[in-house]
Amino acid sequence: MFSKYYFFSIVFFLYSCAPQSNEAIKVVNIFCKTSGQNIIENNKNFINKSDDNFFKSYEKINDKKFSNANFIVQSDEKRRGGYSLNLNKIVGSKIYFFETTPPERTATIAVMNYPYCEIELNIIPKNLEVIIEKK
Amino acid sequence: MLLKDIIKITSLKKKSHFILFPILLILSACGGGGGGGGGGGSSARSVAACTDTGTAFQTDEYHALGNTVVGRGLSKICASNAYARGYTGSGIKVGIVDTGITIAAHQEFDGSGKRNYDAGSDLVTPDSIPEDGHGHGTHVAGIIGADKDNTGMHGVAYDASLYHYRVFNNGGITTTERLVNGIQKAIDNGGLSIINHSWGTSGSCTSQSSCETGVGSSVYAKIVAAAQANIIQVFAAGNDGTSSPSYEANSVAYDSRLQGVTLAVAAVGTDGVIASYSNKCGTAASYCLAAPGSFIYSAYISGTTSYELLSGTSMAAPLVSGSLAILKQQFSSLTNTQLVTRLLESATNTGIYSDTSIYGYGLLNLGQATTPMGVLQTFSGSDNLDSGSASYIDLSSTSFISSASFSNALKKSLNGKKFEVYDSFDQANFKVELSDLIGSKSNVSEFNATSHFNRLKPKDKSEIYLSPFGQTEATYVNGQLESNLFTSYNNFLAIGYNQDTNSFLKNEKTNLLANDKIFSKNYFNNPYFYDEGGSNLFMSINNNQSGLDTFMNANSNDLGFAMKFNSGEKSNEDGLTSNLEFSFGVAAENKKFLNSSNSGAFATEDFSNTNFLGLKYNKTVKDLNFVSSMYLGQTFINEKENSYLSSSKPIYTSSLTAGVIKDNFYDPSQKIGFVISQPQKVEKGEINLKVPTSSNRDRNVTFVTHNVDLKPDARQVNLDLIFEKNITEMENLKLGLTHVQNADHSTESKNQNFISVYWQKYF
Repeated sequence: MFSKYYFFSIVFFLYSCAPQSNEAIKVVNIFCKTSGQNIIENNKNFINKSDDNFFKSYEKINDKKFSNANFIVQSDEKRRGGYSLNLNKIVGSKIYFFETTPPERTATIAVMNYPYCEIELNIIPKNLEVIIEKK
Repeated sequence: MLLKDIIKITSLKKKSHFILFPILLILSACGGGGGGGGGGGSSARSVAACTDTGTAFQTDEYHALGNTVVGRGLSKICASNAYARGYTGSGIKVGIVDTGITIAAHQEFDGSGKRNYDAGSDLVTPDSIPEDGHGHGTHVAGIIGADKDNTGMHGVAYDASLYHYRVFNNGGITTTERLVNGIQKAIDNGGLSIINHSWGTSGSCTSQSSCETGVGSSVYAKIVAAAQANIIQVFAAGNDGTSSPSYEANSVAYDSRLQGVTLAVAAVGTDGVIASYSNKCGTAASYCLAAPGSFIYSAYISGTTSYELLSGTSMAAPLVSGSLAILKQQFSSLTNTQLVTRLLESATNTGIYSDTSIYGYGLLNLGQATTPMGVLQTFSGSDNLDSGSASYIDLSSTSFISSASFSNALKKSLNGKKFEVYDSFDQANFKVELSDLIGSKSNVSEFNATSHFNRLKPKDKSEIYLSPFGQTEATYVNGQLESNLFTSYNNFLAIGYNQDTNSFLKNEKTNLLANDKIFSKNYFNNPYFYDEGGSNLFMSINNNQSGLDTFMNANSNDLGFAMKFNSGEKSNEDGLTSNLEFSFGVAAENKKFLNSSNSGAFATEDFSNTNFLGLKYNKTVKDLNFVSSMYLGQTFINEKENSYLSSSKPIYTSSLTAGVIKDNFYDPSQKIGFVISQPQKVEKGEINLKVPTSSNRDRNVTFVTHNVDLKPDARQVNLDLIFEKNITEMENLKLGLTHVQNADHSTESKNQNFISVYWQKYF
């Protein structure tokens, strides 16, 4: 019995001292734009600071708006202007973006581009998911 | 053969001699003719890839636009060739309907004329400062006209003036209203030659109405209005990878109102092949070409030194717009429609670029567009390039090889002066240095070491035809006829072929000077009988104190005749003899004057005449023999219709010679002679060269008349010393010294000195 008591105590102690994995993800800074270059390679749509290639991607952003970005999200290649990527909502470890598509028969600039968001998050959970919804 | 001919001529009767001169005249009159203009180019267009040759302009900044890779970007279209010719888009206004221009003090736009805003040119946040919040407009502007300043990159037309109209928002999208107002602003500017449209609406159309529907009728109307305002519009073909351009770019295929001043531009990748994203020229192939569009490095909005690599037909279109700005600057004689046609026709269309469904006319080739596509031609006969009375002559057929008597003055007068010639393809105007067409004959070309040495050799006595009529002076010397012709006293008839015409100095004493053709031609012959090269014919009919010389240069059909009056050789018992000859006559030069060669646009009509007076005097006092010769001429140029060359006043020329020969110089075996002379020189005279110097887009040509004073700035003087010693009857030594001052009557000529020694021994 004693051992059971101690076991649960130790578990409770350890749990209480562990990082708060269920802490809400908050966006500290965000700036969304389009890039002329493919910022994130290998067909991924996001990259965070824990990734070895993060800074390589970050350096491709020409128009950096803040210095503490730790998270980048990017849409796939667009063949004309009028597309944009915007943060929609955060649900648990899932971050939802919506991609705006230009209306049919609208004049747009004729440049290849990649909508992206440069983001500073308060935390970067390991099980982070990015969902880009098209509007 | 020679003997046969001699016999033949010998058999002539006395009265037959007077028939010969008319025969010569008739023979000469049979020559001439000529002419015919050139022109016309090949019907099948085949333009190979250009070679980027303007090495002085191929800087790091130049290659930067192509992502620093040589062979991409500006070097792919050979822009440096245009720069090397002096064309950079200066003075040409280009409108850019886009996302605006960075308002940061970007180093690529701090040159003059790069940030021009019309009132209300920001249609997104209505004001007059079209601040770019996207970067696309700044990038496009950089491709067209970023400064050439040894930093970053530079645009294709780096001296063009840029006008910005912000129609697209920071997301790269716009509204109908903004487009309508933006294009109208560009039209209202009134000075734009070109509008770049690096945008479009996705979708394909197959008729004017479907294109108009796709574009939207109000925007379409503005595009048409811009075309009708004679503004060249360049549209990106679009990036949908389709077989034809998007709506706006494809409209030109179906609307004649757009055709001629509207272009669609597809993009090629870094490998030069159509980019995977680019729409192909397809149905707009007749109004379409391709240009580099992938990984184009240009200015951006992130800071004053920011740049970005962008890809798309958005990047290809401004390369075409900038190229048109260069063409517009270079060719003032071409209308906007002609500029567009030239750009299309000059595109590389060999190899893969021959597929018109993909590349339309081919790959942009600024190197070719800025060089003649047909043959260059001179223009005269009208003041309008399209006039039916206009006369075009191939430049290669035009030259003016001037006589040494005025070449120095002509060259100096025309130095640095340019005139216009025109491409037979479209009459695009090119500048040519007048002096490039002016060549010079020389009085001293014969004064090289070999010819100076040859002067001491015995003269060639071959091909002499002589009719021993009366008391001829002609004699056989060593089995050959002595070549003394044109002797002005004693009865004789002589005919010469390719022969020295001087025989005034015929006596033994003066043979020292007169025994070689070059020497006597230069100093004692009639200087207006230009017997250089070819088949020259001479005839001389003489009695005791008068005579008639005739001359015909069979090559150029020159004619000449001179009446001579001679005092006769006087002599007294003291060994003093004297001889005075006075002559006058006329030399008629066929299609030239004063031995200049004029052709093409500088041509002169048949027979420009020179009236001349000649005086020769020869006096012998014992061992001394004094000789002198002087000729004065008055030349009238026979002007040819539509020639650039005219003359309202006669040209006066002179030539002078004086010398002394001493026999028995130290001993009877030695002779020495000294001569001072001045070759033919213009003393007074001028010509007018009326040449086209500019042309405008109404195709009107302005001519400027250059009044050229032909009098040289110096007088050439030759000093000759000749020494001869007959060592034995079989051995002979000659020495020649010559000093030439102000050669070809030019102060800029270096003095020349020659020394030759000739030793001859018979075995």
